[in-house]
Amino acid sequence: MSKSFNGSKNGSAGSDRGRFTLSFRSKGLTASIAAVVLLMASVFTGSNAFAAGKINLVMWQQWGGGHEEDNLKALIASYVKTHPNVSIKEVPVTNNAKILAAITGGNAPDIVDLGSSLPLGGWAAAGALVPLDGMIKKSGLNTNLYIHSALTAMQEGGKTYGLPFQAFNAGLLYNKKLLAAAGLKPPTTLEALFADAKRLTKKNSSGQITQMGFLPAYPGPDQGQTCPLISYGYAFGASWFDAKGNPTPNTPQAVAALKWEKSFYDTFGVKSVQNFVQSAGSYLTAGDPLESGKVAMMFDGPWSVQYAIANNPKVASQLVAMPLPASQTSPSSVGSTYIDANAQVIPSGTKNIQAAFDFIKWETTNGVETAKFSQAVANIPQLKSVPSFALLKQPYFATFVKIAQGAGAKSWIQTKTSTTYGTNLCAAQDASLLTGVSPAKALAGVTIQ
Amino acid sequence: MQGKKFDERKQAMLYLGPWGIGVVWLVLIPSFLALFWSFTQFNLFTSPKWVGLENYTELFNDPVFLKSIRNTLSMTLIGVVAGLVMGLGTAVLLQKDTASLRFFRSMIFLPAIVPPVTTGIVWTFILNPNYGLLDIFLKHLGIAPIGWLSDPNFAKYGLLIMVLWGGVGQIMMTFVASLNSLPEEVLEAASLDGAGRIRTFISVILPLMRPILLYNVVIATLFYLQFFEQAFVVSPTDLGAPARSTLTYALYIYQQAFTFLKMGSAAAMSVLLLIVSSTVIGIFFSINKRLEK
Repeated sequence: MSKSFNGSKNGSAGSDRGRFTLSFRSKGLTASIAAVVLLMASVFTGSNAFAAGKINLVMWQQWGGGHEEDNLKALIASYVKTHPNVSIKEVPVTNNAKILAAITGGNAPDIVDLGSSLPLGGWAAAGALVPLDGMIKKSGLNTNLYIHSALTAMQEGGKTYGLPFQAFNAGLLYNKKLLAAAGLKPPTTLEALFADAKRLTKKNSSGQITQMGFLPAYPGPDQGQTCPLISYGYAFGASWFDAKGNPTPNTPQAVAALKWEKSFYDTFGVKSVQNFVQSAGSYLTAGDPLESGKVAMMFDGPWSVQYAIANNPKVASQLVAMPLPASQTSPSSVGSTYIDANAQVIPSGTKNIQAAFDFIKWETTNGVETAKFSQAVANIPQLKSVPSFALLKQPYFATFVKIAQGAGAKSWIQTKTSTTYGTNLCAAQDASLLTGVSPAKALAGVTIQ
Repeated sequence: MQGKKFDERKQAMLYLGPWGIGVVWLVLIPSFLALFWSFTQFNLFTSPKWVGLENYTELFNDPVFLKSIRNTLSMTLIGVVAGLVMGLGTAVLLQKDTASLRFFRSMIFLPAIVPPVTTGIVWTFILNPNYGLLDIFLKHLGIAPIGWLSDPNFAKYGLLIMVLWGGVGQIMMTFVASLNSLPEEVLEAASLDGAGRIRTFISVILPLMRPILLYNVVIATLFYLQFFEQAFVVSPTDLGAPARSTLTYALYIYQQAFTFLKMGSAAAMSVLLLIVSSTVIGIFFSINKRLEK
């Protein structure tokens, strides 16, 4: 809240002759200010990261800081070693509004490594991104190298606007110790999963949930992940789009998926479930529901296990991955999952388009670098084939790779309104789960424009 | 003499110049641009396309827009009243100029200097339903844990607690200054006439404090109508979570502009906000004028 300003009654006076003249003190002050400005100008215009005579690229990335950034820096260093005429400066920028402001302000970076393809449809349709098809053709890039769904996520209106790097998907992670203690085997249908979750959920004497059988809506957008309803919809046979690419948010299959998801909240109590989630530690920390051994089953990606290995090896050793079961109404939908990737895009208005494309082409088709990065961050290689790496030999990771390459892995169709559709779909999920709106009504109310 | 006046005006213009340039460049021009864009379909990258009142009619048919209004209005009503009551209450209690009361005033004011982002992060822990300080205290009173930020029925109040914690101190300081500047003779006269403390407060002090009360009401109302920071901090990747219960009007403007790339709709919402804010302030000032008469 602002404070009020109480200005002085007596204003400052100029000279008696009515002319504005600088006094000696004023001249000295003005000279000092000018000196400071000149000094600052020399500091900020002086080159520190970029060398003369090179193509200097700026890459804004959404991996953030930490070990992901370290690995990205190592990848960039590999490129620069073999391309000495290029220098690349990477900067973590996780706020999409900042990226948009830079593009519209004519100050966009040369490359943006988007954390997911969710904004791609809207940005591409608006003209914020450079279409890559011409450069793909000219360079002879074979797009069949990529996992098909990961590449599809980079396309809008029949054009390619990004190249995929490090795909990600989800599968059912279950704690074998908790299941064994309850005398249960992994569920083979979503209906069986619900029944198992009821047996695996425990409450203390105060009625607080101490162990959750399955948390359907966690992780979700609040944890920076994809809305799980999308994958559950696939598992019930929904496709979210018709054959022409028009959104279909409230098909019977979609409603059935949300009904199934809601049944957990109705059975265990919305407040109890929410309190359980709130009381757990932050996602991907030792205190999170999965890593702390308080959730028997969860729909999440391979990085979740990798973080558990780092934070809580004992619980990590109890985790097993499997494809998400399908509903018994759609048995062929086993292994349903969204699939997405970090979209390597080139913003409109950048000056070094070709150099930027050369880098992202190298980055996304280099099997050795892809394997190294996948090993480090536990994401799925975006390429169908990469040199073997240690994680591939881990059963849980191999399962996720298999799921990513399976028929159940589907990408979101990118259109002008796909971001709005995805965001509002998740909001409809929350409205139904948390406020009691019927699934049919919630999905019927999804606005797409 | 006239020459001297003209020169003084010239100097005044010179000193006001930078401020004036700033107002024109950073306030007036953007405002007129926003007004223009509100009648266009505009996504920042292509030229605006004139659509007349389409953005406005779409907004009034958008259930999310209406929800953001309901959220904002309820927070405004509760926040303004609670802020005034708490600010005035603490000011009355801590008005006197003693060392101990100065210390308490400083402690109450201290949260005002904490950045909103830090406030949001810290209060996320305090409001936790199972181990947060607030729910532990409520548990001792026999009240079941409340999901202050996870329950759609309570998330707004969780945000209000955060905001009031940081804002009450500022309101309190303005009221303390006003209370301490009240004319002694008026209070003495009331006392001599046999008015008790409560009667004096209601019939003498409050009317004398009307300007500062109006100031606080206006500032608080404007703040809540544009409320953004803490609402953004508690769920930056899922705006308005849980279930859009904390989706404020300003947050929805942000989402329209930067998530949905609908600058025309965002501009239309901004224009409506300007109209509503100006109307509300106008109403307050006219009520004040009538009361003065």
